Amino acid sequence: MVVELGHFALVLALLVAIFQMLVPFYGSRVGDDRMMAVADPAAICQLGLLSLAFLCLTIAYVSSDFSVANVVANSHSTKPLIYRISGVWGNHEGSMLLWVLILALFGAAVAAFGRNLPASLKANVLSVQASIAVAFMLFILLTSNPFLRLDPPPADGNGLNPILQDPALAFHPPFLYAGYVGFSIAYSFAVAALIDGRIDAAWARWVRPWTLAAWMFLTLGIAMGSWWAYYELGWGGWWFWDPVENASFMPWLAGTALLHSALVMEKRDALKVWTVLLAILTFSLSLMGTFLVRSGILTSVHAFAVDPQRGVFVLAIMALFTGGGLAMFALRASDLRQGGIFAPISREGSLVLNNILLTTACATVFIGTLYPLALESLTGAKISVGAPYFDWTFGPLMVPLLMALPFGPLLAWKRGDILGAAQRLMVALLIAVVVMAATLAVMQRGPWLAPFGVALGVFVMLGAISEIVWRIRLGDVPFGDAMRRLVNLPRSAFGTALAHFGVGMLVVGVVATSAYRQEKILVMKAGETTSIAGYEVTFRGVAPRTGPNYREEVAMFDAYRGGTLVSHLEPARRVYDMPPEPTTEAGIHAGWRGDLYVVLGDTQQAGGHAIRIYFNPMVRFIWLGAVVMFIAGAVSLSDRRLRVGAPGRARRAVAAAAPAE
Amino acid sequence: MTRKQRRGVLIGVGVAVLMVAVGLVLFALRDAIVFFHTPSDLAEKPIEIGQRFRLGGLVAAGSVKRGEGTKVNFAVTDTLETVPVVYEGVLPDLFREGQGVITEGKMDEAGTFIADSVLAKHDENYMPPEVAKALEAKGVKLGEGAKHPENVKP
Amino acid sequence: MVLWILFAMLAAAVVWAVTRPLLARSAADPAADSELAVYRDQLAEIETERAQGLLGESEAEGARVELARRLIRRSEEANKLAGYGAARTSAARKAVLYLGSALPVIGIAIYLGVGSPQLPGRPYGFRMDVPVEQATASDLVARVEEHLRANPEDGRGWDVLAPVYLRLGRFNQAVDAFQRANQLLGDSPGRVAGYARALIMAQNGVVSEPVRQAYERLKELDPKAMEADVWLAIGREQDGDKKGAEAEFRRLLATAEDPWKTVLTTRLEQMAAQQQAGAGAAGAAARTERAASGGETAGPADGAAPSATVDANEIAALDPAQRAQRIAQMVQGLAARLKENGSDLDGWKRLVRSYVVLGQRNDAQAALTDARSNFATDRQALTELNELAQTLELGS
Repeated sequence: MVVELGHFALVLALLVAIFQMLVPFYGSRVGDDRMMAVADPAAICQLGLLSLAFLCLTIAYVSSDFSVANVVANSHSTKPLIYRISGVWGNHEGSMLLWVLILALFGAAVAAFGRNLPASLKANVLSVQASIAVAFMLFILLTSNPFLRLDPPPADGNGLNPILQDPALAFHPPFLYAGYVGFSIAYSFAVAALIDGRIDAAWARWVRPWTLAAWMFLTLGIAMGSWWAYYELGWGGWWFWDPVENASFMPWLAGTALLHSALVMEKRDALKVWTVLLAILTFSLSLMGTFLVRSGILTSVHAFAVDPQRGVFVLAIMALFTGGGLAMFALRASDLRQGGIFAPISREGSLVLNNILLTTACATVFIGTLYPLALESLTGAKISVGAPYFDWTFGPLMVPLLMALPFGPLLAWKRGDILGAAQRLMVALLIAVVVMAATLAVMQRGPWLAPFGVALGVFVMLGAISEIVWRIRLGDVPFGDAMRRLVNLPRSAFGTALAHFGVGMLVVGVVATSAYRQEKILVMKAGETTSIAGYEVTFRGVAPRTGPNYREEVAMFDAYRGGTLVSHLEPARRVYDMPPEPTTEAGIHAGWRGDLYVVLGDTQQAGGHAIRIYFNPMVRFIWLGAVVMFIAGAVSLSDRRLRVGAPGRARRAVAAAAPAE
Repeated sequence: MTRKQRRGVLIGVGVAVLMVAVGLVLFALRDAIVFFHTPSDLAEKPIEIGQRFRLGGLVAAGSVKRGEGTKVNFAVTDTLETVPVVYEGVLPDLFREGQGVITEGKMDEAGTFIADSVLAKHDENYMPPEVAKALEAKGVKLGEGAKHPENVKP
Repeated sequence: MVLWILFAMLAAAVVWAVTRPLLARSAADPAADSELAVYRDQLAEIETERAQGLLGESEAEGARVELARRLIRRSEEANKLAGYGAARTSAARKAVLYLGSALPVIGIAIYLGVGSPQLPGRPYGFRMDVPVEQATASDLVARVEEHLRANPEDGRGWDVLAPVYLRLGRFNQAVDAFQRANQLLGDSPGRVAGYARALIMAQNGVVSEPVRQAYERLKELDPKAMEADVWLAIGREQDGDKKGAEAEFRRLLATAEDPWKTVLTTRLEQMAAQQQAGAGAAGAAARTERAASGGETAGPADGAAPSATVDANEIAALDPAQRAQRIAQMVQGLAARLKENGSDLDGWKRLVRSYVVLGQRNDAQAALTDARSNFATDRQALTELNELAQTLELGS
């Protein structure tokens, strides 16, 4: 019964979305404020209905209701509770339901928090938002309905792919989707502005927090995926330039650019046309990410929907919204008035440079991801574009971006003083050079560009600190004054500095671990010891062990450093009961210096086991950097100035319909 | 500077970045991509020795021989032709005889493929799409039967 | 009934919510000056920052001037737009109102097309409470599983469940269950043989080292077990020892009775044919084997069944054209046999699956219908056939 209630709620949600798409839009055309006012309750209703639908599906999963085809296909009665819940979105149908739920959540948030938006803008925004919801709900009901039933029900389910049974991956899709879908708000605002044919700095002020929120979630979602790949896939790599990873990375790059260009638009009323275009492109890239993953046209572990009909449907959705958005842009962009002027060397100028480099980098990733598909469909040749391509294209574009990054926030609006900025960065620059020399001296081995990369990361980190130091005039004014200024500094300034600091950390981690990783592949017998990166690793032997829904062979390792035991590592080879698939669990000892990473391989006929040991220097900096960026976003978002609308007005709490868990 | 000049500078920078990017992309696309071939592609048109490429197909039944240490010998087949492969390292979890596999590496003089990476990425059918497509193009049909019996979707 | 009441409540709430604004009195547009409010807000910020010394005096002045310029421009536009919302379109509004009220009706119509309101939910825990007479086969399996999760030391439970798993085609679980039963109850010829069969099926017909050990053990327990000898010989063949395997087949044939006799004869014919054809198409073995055993989930419930897997091995050794022909022959043979004697449920299931594997869905459908009419009085068999239809996505 619960399942059928969810099914009905989904159908009703589709109808409400259609209503929300048509009525407010018509209302804004004829100037009827009551029709426009329909948008708010409709958006909130849509959220309520989809929450109910999602809740019902979750109940079906938690109670292992095997009369639901989707539950049978992706769950099993012995699965631990957390994976029964995460199983809801660990499959195609459920994940699409989550997609529209998050879409509705953002729409309802605009309805609830956007009390101060001009009525016609708000009606149009919610109408565009609803049109996206309609497309995806049709997609669910027509091709991927999670509520289909089986009669009679089978005894038990097929289980969830074991590599998806993992805490980080359990929450990777919700964050990723919150990011993808969050950009739909920027898109809806952009299209609404184009419909109205006018746009101003206030528009940017409304768009920026939504973009920031989406960006935060996407950052964390990508980081989680990367972290998961690092410890679960057993290769010790953290980024594979896999098409599916790229699919989430492209919206991130474009979204980062959008975040910065919206800043210029808000503060200086400039770059309007560009910002609108970027908003459309960012969401289009999100849709493309969905298409690439959902259509299964790519080689990837994520491709759990290999179904041409679905692929064509998502392709149609993508073409409709990308094409529609760009067509609107072509028709109306000339109506948008150009705003403030600025010198090339200025805060605006630096943000434009940021945008140019980020979008170009995004384009190179785009080409690298889609070139194999294009080539195959044109000539039939099958190629793979791997890490070397991206190292050659993406890497060089990031270097000027990172070099320029610390300068940006130190330049004034309109006309900046680059020499002054350079003076303020002197200390950071000197320390970075010292770090470069030190790295070179300690490592004494290639790749020779690596010390420069590390120094670049350090420069970005210190540059972020320099900015705060300069803003509070530490050293210029008495210490007490400086502290007072520090307290008064707007939170968004901390947010900026923190985010840039996070970028620096990430760069340091990426360069150090890529350049100085150590790897050993060998056969070990119990009692043998090997050494890597200053650790003595002793193999104690293997033992069988039984988990809740798997059995595993665990290898015991003791890692010593300077004679003292620092860690006990237990890499394992697991076979899940249902579906019976093997997975490799790496044994990881995490430290500031880096991670010791041990993988258990095949048993050798001559006795002993194949063992892979890696030392990944400073690899934690990569994810810590991403977490710092996420926190930076939250700090910025908490700034009163970034909150939507004018101050002093009572704001209603989010609609009672909370998202289902 | 006039407004026009200012805009000129911005556009100039944009164009310059774009040119650099295009140059990099063209360079990288020429040097950094690897082609994918099946064993029968190799039989038709041999690849020159030392050229990196990806070899995909099924792991031939009964061909896996573990050698000294972490060295593994096996053969990749597309049911028409078979190529012997040597790989040094730990094989992925889902590497099994009769399952789809992609290996990357070079041919040696003896006609053996020296792989430095082995991927057994899989979708629900235990079959990398590239391999599935290539096999289907060769007339090898992958119907329901190609699925693992435990994993037949209801 | 409860379901429909819930539907009605849900629909009513939705209609009430989305049509309410249409009926409400038109309030003065609260957002008319909201954009201006944003500018005022920004002006105030500049003032605070200046006061706190975060913004220089001249910078603050410049920013103020620019904001003021934008503010004036906006208010001009806002004045021009005044009266924009004055138009009243009551007819259209009425139409929209009707549309909103009609949403539940359309919703029910669509829902009836896609939903299954008549089906009750069957949560796993709830299945444990269904009376035995009403329980389906899978309910009972679930119940035994639940019992064994609580009492994993109950060897008899595993012993009962293991052959059921094997018949259901859940080979890996069957392997596990046989293994546990053997550990807890001690080896018995039946269990050891079951374990070996399950393992062979789980590994797509490959006689691996554990299988070999199991059959060696079976021979210790029951020296007359022909099954063990035949499979061990097939294992030798798979290992490449064709000569040894052939000799062994011949030796066994001397004393063999059906079904083993047929298996051995075809095996030997096959080897002869293969020697002539040369060692072609060996690479296809694994896939075809899997194809065959994928269509063979009905499994060897009795000693005769391994023949199917032996067939798979034979077929693997043929070239593609011969192979297709051989499979077609097999299927035809099976169909003919079932036409004469329709009481073999496993045979029917195998036939349906084979048709699906061969892509002949219409034939599969027809076979399913025939099977159903043969078992019209057997509830258990009908349930199994329905499950099969579901698994293969054949309409029922």
